[in-house]
Amino acid sequence: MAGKLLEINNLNVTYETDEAVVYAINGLNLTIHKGETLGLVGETGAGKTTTALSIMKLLPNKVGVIKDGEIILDGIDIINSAEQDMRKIRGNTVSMIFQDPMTSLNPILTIGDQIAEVLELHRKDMKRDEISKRVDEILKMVGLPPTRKNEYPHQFSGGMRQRVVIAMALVCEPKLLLADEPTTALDVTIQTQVLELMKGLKAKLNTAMLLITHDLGVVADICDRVAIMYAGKIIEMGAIEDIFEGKEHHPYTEGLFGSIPDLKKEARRLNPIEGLMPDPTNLPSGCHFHVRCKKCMDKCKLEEPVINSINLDNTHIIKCHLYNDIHR
Amino acid sequence: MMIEEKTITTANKSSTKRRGQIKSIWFRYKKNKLAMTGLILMGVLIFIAIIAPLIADYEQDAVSQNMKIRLQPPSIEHIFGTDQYGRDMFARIIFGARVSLAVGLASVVISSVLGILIGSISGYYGGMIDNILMRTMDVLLAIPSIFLAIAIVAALGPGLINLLIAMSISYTPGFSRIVRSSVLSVKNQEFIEAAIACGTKDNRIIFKHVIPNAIGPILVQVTLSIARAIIHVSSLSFLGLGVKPPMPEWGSMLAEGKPLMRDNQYLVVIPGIAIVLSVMALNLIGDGLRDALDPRLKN
Amino acid sequence: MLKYIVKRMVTMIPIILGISFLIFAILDLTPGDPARMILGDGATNEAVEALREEMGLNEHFIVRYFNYVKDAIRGDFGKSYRSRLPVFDEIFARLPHSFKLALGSILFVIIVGIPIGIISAVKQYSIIDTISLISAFLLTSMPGFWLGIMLILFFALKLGILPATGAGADSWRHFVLPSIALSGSGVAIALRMTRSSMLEVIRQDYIRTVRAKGAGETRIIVKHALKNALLPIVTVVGIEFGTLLGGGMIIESVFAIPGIGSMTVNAIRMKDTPLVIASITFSAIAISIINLIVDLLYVYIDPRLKTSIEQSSR
Repeated sequence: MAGKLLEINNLNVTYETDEAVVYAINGLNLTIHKGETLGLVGETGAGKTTTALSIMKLLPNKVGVIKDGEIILDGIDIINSAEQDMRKIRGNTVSMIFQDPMTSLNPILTIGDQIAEVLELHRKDMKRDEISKRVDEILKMVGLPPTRKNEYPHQFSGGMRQRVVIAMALVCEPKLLLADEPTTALDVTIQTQVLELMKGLKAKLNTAMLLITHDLGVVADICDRVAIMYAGKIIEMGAIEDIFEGKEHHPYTEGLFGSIPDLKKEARRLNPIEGLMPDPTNLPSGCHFHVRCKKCMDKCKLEEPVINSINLDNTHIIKCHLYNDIHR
Repeated sequence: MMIEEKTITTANKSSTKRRGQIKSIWFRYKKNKLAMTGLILMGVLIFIAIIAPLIADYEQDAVSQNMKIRLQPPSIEHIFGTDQYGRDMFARIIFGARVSLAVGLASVVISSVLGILIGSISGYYGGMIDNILMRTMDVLLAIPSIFLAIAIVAALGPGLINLLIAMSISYTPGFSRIVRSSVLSVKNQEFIEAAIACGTKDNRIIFKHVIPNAIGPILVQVTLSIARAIIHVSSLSFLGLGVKPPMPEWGSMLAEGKPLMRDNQYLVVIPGIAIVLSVMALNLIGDGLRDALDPRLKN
Repeated sequence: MLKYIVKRMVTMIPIILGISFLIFAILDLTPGDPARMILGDGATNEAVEALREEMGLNEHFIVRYFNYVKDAIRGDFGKSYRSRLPVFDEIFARLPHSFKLALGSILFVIIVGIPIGIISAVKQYSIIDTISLISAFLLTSMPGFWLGIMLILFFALKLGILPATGAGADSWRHFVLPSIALSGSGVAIALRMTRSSMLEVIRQDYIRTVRAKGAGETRIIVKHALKNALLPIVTVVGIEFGTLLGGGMIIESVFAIPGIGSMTVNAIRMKDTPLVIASITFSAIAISIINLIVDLLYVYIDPRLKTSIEQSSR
């Protein structure tokens, strides 16, 4: 197993306004190894985007607060890093791409300039013509003609704009790419293209990736491991074989999958579970899922479950009282 | 008579809706402290302007000259001092308030009525009429309003009535534009179609349905225009193109005081503050109205 | 692109003609006989009649207007009733002063209004923000000429560091106070618009992308936010230019600057119609040109507009 690239321990993040405190992330534990792709799955409001923003330390100023925990990226202590140091890391060691390509690009700068900007920020030793060459290179890699680099975002389609965004994120060959639902806003046909592109680039550059998504088909296609998130914490995590082929699952995961899909069968969409996500300003006691859980026991209402390891290697973990006594 | 009933109920609904709306608008307005300050300030100013003849005598204090007491700085007897002709500044200020407020209000009222007329006809009927009217308005709008006012005063000569005419004409294009766009946005709503469908006469539709729904932005514009008008009146009078002496007016008082301001600062400070306070009050009210009408617009 | 500019300049003509016609018509309705005014009350009726013939005053109104335009195109705007000198010369002699005043004002508006607006937006709700909003509000509640008077009172009479009038108008010092006074409302408007435009732009997704690239705040504000925020700011400053011309008349009077504005005011007082018509028409032309420049600036700032213009002129 390759070395650890990202380690998040017991992360707690809140959003604080005058009216309320939102408990967005509550004791999150996560690991990503070098070159590995971890899928982060969950309903809207689970805290997936917040997780990614916390790694980048891009939470909204003053409102978003990292209350507790540890984020170690490539040996760097993110939480205690100063803003100047973070600026050297963003776009360089770790990059992020966001959901909506239509609004992610500055409308009044050429795509070439926007890609070059990342190089100007992090490769100060590169000369202008070197930067220009590199921009051409990365454009070719994402499947866009370098001749179009002096055009503006509005002259490109959604899928092409997302490629530009990917180019910007990968031009400095970061060790980790955070992708927040990169294909959700695209047409289905374009989705496949962009995903293939990402798969290819990932392999070529050996970039680790945190892929936030709703789509289990995407997870099956591109991820090595999967983490399922609910109410600000990871409630199940494992290799895709464990998740897609294993027998034991968190009740929430079961709900998400409907019935456990076969790797060989076609990709399934998420089936919504009854009830709503808990109010993050007023989380339920004990296990946050107990209100919606079909297998809820008395213990679940009082005590928060611990992390239970389902197999010997500790690669498949489930946070549920049902598995407290599993020792395999 | 289903459609008729529908129109009546929709119209009734819209008027009860309106009454409820007015209440909630007032409620939101009250919450805004700055807006309330403006309202109170304006109330005080209007009150003083109205009771002016009770506090001071127009002929004696504000107009007739008394060279023996000229250029006296503020004192207990003359709280704002006297000007170079011995006239009591306080009296001149409060009578000046009448002029500024009256001309400001009158010119805006006239131009808003004209604007509503032109704007609603233009917006409602569209087509050729709209084209001609709006092109004319565009030409008028291409000239800054103060220019236009000056040009008209140039033609007619200075004096109160001419000033009023000039200012009314120069504000009308702005109002007609606003009314027209409000009308255009209301025109396409359902209850207008219903009203047309059962043969309601055009002017009835315009007056009873279209205009009341456009009142909001018009009111905001009216308030802010009165503020601008007060500045314009004083500017024109300052240049000698407004009211004729010896009528007291804040702008002309400033013009008279300027040559002597080195040693008699109060002559130019006090009328200026009067202008600033009145305009400020109106701006606060106008902004408050705008926020109360559509709180979503607030940043 | 060039086609667009030419098209716009051509459209300017009917508007300018319209304005000049309007002013001509308004002033023509002036009661009073110009010939008699020139010759004075003591003149004989024959003399007055002769002058009227010479000045073409007996022709029909429309004919006179056409003659006026015909001459104007050749550069002959008639002669001042007062001085009997060609109007064109009078305007041209005074043009530099008015221009310097306008330039000074616009510079002040841009250099003071926009940066403070940016700071206000970036530090929203801070003390600086509150103070600048209050100042902007006070500036819009103040007549420009009073601001001018107060500036004279304070800087010229009390402190004595700047001249009280622009008379002579030979050194730049004469233009400092007048420019500041004239820029009052412009600064307020620029400040407010910059602030609200920046606040909106900063919320946009692409700003978040730039942060994720590792850019610092300064780069974000100057290179990304400001350029995107510029459009409404330019609009509003462009409109303000028109107000500036009107206000310029008043400020020139306050500071006794020998410019076109003060000439116009005097001309109106003296009912010197040719001067008035010419200077107002001239201002209308200036405003139209500025509007065109503003529209061209739009295209320079926002490349999306260039595309739509080019597409529509195909």
